[in-house]
Amino acid sequence: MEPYICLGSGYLPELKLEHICSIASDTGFKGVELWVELPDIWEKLCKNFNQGVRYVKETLENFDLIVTIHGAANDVNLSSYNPKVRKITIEELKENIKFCGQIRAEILTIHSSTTFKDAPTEWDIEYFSEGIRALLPFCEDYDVKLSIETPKIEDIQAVVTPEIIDQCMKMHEKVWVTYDTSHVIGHQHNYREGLKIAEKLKEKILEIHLAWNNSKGQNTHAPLQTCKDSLFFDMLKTVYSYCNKLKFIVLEIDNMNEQKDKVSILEHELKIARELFSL
Amino acid sequence: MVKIGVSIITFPFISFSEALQKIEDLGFKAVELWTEFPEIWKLDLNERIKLFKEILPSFNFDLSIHSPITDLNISSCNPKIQEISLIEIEETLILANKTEIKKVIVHGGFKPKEKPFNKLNKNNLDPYIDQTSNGIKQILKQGEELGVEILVENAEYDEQHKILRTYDDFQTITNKINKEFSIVYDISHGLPAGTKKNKEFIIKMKNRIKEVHLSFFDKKIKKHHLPLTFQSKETLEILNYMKKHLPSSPNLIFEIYNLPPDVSIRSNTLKHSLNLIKPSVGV
Repeated sequence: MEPYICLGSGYLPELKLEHICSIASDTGFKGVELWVELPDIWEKLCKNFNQGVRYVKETLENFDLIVTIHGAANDVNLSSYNPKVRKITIEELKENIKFCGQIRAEILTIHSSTTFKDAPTEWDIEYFSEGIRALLPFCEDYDVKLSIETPKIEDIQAVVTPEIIDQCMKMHEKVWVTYDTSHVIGHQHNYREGLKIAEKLKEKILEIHLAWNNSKGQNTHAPLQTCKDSLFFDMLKTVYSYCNKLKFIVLEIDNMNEQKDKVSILEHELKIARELFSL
Repeated sequence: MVKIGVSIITFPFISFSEALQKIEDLGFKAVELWTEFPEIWKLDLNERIKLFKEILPSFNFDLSIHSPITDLNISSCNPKIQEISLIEIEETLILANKTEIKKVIVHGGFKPKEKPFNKLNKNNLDPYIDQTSNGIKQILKQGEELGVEILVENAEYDEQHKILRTYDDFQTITNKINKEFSIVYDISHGLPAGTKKNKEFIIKMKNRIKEVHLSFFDKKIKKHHLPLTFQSKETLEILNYMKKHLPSSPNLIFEIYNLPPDVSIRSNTLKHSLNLIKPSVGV
């Protein structure tokens, strides 16, 4: 089955959910990726979880869009040395899983945890693994797939490096991968590394976060239309060919808030993605 | 008379009592305790109180405690993390109260680093300043009730998502809570702003600075908490300035962390750093 091309909501923080869905729908996207921390959703979920869920469900009913979810990422850390923070993180992610289950989203993407040291230690990895073990039964209950996002290649404090994701996959059969094209190539545009990671994790990639990395460090998720390097597009085609379990391709473009004509930019992005993957 | 001390975190690979003994043997008169010191961190509050009561009476240090900071944020956009951050500080205040330690050091909060909030609040810190103000107000009240002085530390000037970095930040929070709380001034954190801005901060806050944290910030590699060297001219200039302008003599605490784990290397580095500052502080 062909993957759905979705609009990422993380860069549209000032918009209401309905407006984001309208943009996605009008532009021709098949789905949306919603961050639970999108202020319009987050504030409601924090105030009253059930009412927040109802709000999202009712809004989505007006659109023919499939939904994938990005879990909480701010200040939570599955590998924290602080047991209280680890506990809160697990609670928060369990709530995210429940949210997915209730709005019938199949995939929850979570971020790699972080270490406060200059490189992950065995403790960090063990804590992360403990967290995953605590979350998986919950995923089963709500029929949700937990997908770990590949971290920025330059982030030395990311605990779950691609090698560790690979180890984690071997330990936990039911953990999946969200492959972020901007993160894996980094500011140095290391396509070889991007391909290596994709090849290693190919059996587990359920979602691709699609964006160019403009290498200046401030706009890491740049529109595809700003990329002039054909090697990047060649890499994307190869990565796509590896992924036989892919469900979603999410266009994650930075600074959409500052763009006046969001729809025409997104239409162009969608056209590039469709042509690239023949979708 | 200024007392010079060391953060206990300088010696994380030996036991709590061995670390204190090492600091005493090196001739330091003050210690900044951290609840995140490995041997303390694994204990619950009652066990921490018991350990402090067993070990600390054998030493004659002027003490302060740094409350935990790793993965905590009193201004978090996640209310659960915000609550836990305040609970950790409250527990540190209780520990201080039960063990007769009079000063507790706390950090301000920071705005979200991740999407989607970081875009929304790119130029707008207001909700997070409000949360920091509310948090500090609550901590100050608890400190008063427990007879513990709260010292709020300036954050790294170069980490722009952090809230209490500048004089203006401190003034904004002070005005919001309508109370002049005490400050621990970390010279390394202030150094990215340059000597002039550091001096301005010191002169404007001179009556509120009750402790000073001392280490080197290397602008080239952008790293804080490095040992002092002969190149640390700005640090020594700031220390001289403090000696001239501060009405009191706050304790100077070495917070040098980026070192090899070997205890003798760490001890020698402290001795060397101490010798470097002696002319500036007059001891």
